[in-house]
Amino acid sequence: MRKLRGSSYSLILVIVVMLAFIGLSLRLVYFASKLLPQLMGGIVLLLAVIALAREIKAGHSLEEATVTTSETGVGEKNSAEAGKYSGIAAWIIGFFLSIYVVGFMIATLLFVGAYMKRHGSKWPATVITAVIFTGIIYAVFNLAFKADLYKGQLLMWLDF
Amino acid sequence: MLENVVQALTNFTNIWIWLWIMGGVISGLIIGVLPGIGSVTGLALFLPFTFKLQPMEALPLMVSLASVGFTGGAITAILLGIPGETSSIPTTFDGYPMTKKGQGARAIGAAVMGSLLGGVAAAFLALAMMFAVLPMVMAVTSMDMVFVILIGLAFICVLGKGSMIKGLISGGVGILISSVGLAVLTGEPRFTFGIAFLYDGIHIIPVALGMFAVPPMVDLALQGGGSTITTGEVIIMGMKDVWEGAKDVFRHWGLWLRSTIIGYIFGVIPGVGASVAVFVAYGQAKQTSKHPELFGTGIVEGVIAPESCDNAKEAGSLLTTLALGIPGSLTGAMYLGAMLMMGLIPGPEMITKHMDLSLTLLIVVAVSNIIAAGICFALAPHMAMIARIPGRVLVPTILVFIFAGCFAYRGYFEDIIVMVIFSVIGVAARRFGYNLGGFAIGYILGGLFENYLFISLQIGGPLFFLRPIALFLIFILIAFFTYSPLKNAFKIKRGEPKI
Repeated sequence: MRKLRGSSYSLILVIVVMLAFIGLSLRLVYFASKLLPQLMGGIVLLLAVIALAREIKAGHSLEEATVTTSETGVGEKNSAEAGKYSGIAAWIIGFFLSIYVVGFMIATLLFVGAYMKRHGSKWPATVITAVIFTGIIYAVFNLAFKADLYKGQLLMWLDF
Repeated sequence: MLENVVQALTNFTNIWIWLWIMGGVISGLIIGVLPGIGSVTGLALFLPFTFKLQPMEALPLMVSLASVGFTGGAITAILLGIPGETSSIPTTFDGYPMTKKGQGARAIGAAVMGSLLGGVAAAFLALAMMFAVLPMVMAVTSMDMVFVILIGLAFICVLGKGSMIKGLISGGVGILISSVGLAVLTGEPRFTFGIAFLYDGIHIIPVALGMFAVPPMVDLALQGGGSTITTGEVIIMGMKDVWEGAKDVFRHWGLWLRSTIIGYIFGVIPGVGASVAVFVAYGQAKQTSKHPELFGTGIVEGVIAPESCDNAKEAGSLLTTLALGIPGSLTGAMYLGAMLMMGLIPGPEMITKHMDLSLTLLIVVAVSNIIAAGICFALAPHMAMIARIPGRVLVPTILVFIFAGCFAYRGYFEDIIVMVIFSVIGVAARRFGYNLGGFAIGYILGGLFENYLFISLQIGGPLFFLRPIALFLIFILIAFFTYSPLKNAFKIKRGEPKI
């Protein structure tokens, strides 16, 4: 079976989302509420179908022209790239979860410190940067802008 | 009209506006110097801070930041061969070879003077144009604004990076995302799934940060934890050489003027972008030169052209954003987002009700270019050292700022969730060639578009577009979409290869 490219999958996703948008907008009561979503959803759906058809067609001609190209090399490159993206996603999600649990201040300290250490910083530089930067965040947001940064579920559970 | 000019100038007697401009200039220069972090990312980072500021504080800060970001980008492009901004790439063609030949100081002088004069001249040109376009803009009604927005969106989606269809899809998806929340005209909840947080719609701050601030950090993280600069040499610059470079701009004033005009025009046209404008400016410099074979080997004309063009673009873009409410570029989209958050509606209303603010912002472009030039003349080699900050420090610290800024604006943890979702969308959209500019502008203008559309339908009925201005705009829209296919069809008919 012919493999689709990432871009084609993205277009399929757009088509599915647009169908959902149009479907949901059909349930809206007022004409004024549903006109824009249906109009735009319809246009985007049509464009996505055209783009997908073009990509599949272009993929056909490309495959016919380069049947002998090694698929292993491309596969390895893609999986290495996916691995890198997953690594970064893990850092971001980890930071997000740590904010939720321990709040901004502790999460900042942990995230900056862990990221720097993991990427080759020495301990003194890591600790100094993490502490100073956490201080800057506190000064800018809590003191200067009077924005109470999220304290985290842990402190709330502990009744702080 | 004169009283607006006087009022705009009076605004500069307030010390605070100067402090905001200084803050914007310094931030813009630092952001410009840092490779991989452009003015758009900088503006997205500053967007959450506008919640405590007045329009006369936040907008000068943002405009000055974006106006000088390109100047900062030129410094690393010349001294280290690394463009701080995408639009600084052509500057590396001749700027870095000049440094290797020992003429780095001269190249810096030419770049800074070219940027300064380009930015200031374009700001004054935009000021003059503001008065010229005023009668035209005042003739534009809600019924015409529907098509003004469509034209702006079409230009941005089609002329931007990537395929035309994906550009249009991006714009359309942006408009659809803007429709989430209570419908303004009926009060009916749309696509909220009963979640109270979504009743207010998806806010611009998490969207802007997710789409424009997080993806560059992901790119930076992909490069590893080290510094993008590996050379250890210290750059020593003599002021005499710097001034020599500055004088070069006057020696090649014709080239400077042509490049400035190109930058200004490309700025006014929505969607073309700085990266295209600077290549066009570099190309014309080579074509009109008496010694085109020397371009790329390190000649000063190759620095003057892109740098004059780069800074001139910003004033043109600002004019389109203020006068028509159509952002000329992504930085314009960020201004537009900030203005809407502060209750200002760019377009005819902006330059009639808030003319003094509009004029002030154009003067800010000129002023910030002057301040930036002063800083760069004095500190350019030291500024280049900022680019040595390694990725392992930049990535986590900027990510923390992004997350904290996202939360601080409204204090909703849900905003962070939305930002993370849009970060994934932003990274994927960049990876698969969608037009982020088109998305942003569709999203920002979606609400206005819907309002104008319904006002028009209520006033003029289904045939509301039967008005001279609207018909003219429809003609432009049709011509824009049919020009290229028709040209290709004629070429095929004549047996020529299609474009």
